[in-house]
Amino acid sequence: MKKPYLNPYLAGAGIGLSLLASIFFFGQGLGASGTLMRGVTWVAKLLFPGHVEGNAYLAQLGGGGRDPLLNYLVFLFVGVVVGGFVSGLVSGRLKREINHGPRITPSQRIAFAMIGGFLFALGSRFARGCTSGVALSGGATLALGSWITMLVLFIVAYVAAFIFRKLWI
Amino acid sequence: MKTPAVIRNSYYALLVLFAVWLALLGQPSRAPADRPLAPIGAIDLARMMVEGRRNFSVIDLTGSPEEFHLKGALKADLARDLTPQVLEFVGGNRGQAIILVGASEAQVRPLAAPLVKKRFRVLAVPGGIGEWKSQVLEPANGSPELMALSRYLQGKSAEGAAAATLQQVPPGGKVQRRARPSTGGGGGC
Amino acid sequence: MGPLSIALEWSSSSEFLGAFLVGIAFGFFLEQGGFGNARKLALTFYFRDMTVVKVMFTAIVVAMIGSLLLSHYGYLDMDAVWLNPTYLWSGLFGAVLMGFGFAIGGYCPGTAVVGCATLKTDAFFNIGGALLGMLFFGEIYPLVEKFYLSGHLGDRATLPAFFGISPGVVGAGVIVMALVLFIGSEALEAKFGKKEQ
Repeated sequence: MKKPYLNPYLAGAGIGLSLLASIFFFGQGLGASGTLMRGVTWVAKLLFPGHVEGNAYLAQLGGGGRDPLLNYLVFLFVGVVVGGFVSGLVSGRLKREINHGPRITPSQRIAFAMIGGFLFALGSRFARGCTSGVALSGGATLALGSWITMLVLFIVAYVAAFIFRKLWI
Repeated sequence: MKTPAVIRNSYYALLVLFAVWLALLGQPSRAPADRPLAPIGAIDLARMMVEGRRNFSVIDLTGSPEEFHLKGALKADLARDLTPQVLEFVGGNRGQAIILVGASEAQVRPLAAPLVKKRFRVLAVPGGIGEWKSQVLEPANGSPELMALSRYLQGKSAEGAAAATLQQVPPGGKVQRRARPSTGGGGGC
Repeated sequence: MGPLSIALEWSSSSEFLGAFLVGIAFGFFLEQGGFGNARKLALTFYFRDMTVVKVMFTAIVVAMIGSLLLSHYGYLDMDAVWLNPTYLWSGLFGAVLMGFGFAIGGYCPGTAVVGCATLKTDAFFNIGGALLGMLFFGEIYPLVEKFYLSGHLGDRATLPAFFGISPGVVGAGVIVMALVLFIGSEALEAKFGKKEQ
């Protein structure tokens, strides 16, 4: 039985309070893309430790004695999986499905999901964060670069969504 | 998803109230510059080390570059910004206590501020590393704090507690970082 | 005075446990808002379902109000709180890529994770693509390092400092902006949202 979504303002308040708790208790905000980067670094370190050591960016995360996974964000990420799952479970929204627009096929959606994921992740590295890290956390702490990134992201997304509207409507 | 108008308008009104409150705040009561350098003294440091709650590193601000191999501490120039070198040295482990030997707190304060912001505990010890060693190892007229520190450090190793506390730097100067858990340097996305 | 983990010198393990708990709340409310569904997220861009705007800006405003007030009255030391650094050109370039990535992929990493947690197949492939993107960045880093580090306006640059106005006034401005967005969103949904019904 699928329950309706929570009122967006309430959901937003819930997220906002989580973010505030993160700031007040642990002195840092939320983030998601960082964990993906750290996961990749961890695997790379396992297979090609010398390569990680020699790459300035990867070495920051996993060089020397550093364990890329021993980080606040990684544990946060695991929590997000659990929280998302629990919410889906109690709301009857655990469903193996592919969400796509009416004018494309599920397979096409899969392909675009991958491409979009690739582009977004690449962008998140340049911007030093994704929407959780930059827009939410950087936004709440009034970080200059974060606000610039967030506003440009939204504007570009609207333009890009118009170009790619066949994917969704 | 339709939010009932009453709820929506109450929410908006609440936001307006907060906006007014924030706009009227003015400047914060405590300027950042007034905040203490770091909430730590020698005895607190000793206590924390005894309790195993802190790792610490010693950084020598005096002496010549050649000497630092013997001392096993990082040679840092007081005239330059300490922070990048210190962070490299301590591996970005938040919460570490850093003992800066060879400067007074007044001298160290402006340089240590970025470290404090990254949540390191900074203890400034005037005098040279030799003095500090002798003070710590043989505190004839040492303060109770230093004696406590000395007792703790002496318990650390047979060859001399101060040496044991220093990170060993092999010839060539490449800093060896002991592997230890890090919360990633304090933040990031 | 916060951040409590620093003031009370909590161990790394406690911090990691705390991160996990915060994450649970974050993930829970993300899914509750419907952020596990890429199509629902994408409808924001066609003005048919403005949930993303309402949720995001409520979240930002709630956390912002909380931190500004706690900080002002001395309960939170913002100097000890992580602040996103500002690298202008890299940030702009990243924003453009992310804008396209979001419009094409329908997810960002946080929402994709929630999508995976609720078994959405497209979310798994989105994360897969994202992991490749991360790998790619790592590999091209030597080529882009200079660009990545350019336009460094500061590690702790903030809007109040940049504009020379007090944080409270900036906060009030952000709230006003959010209100405009909320009211606008309700109007847009009323006009265009009917297509979804």
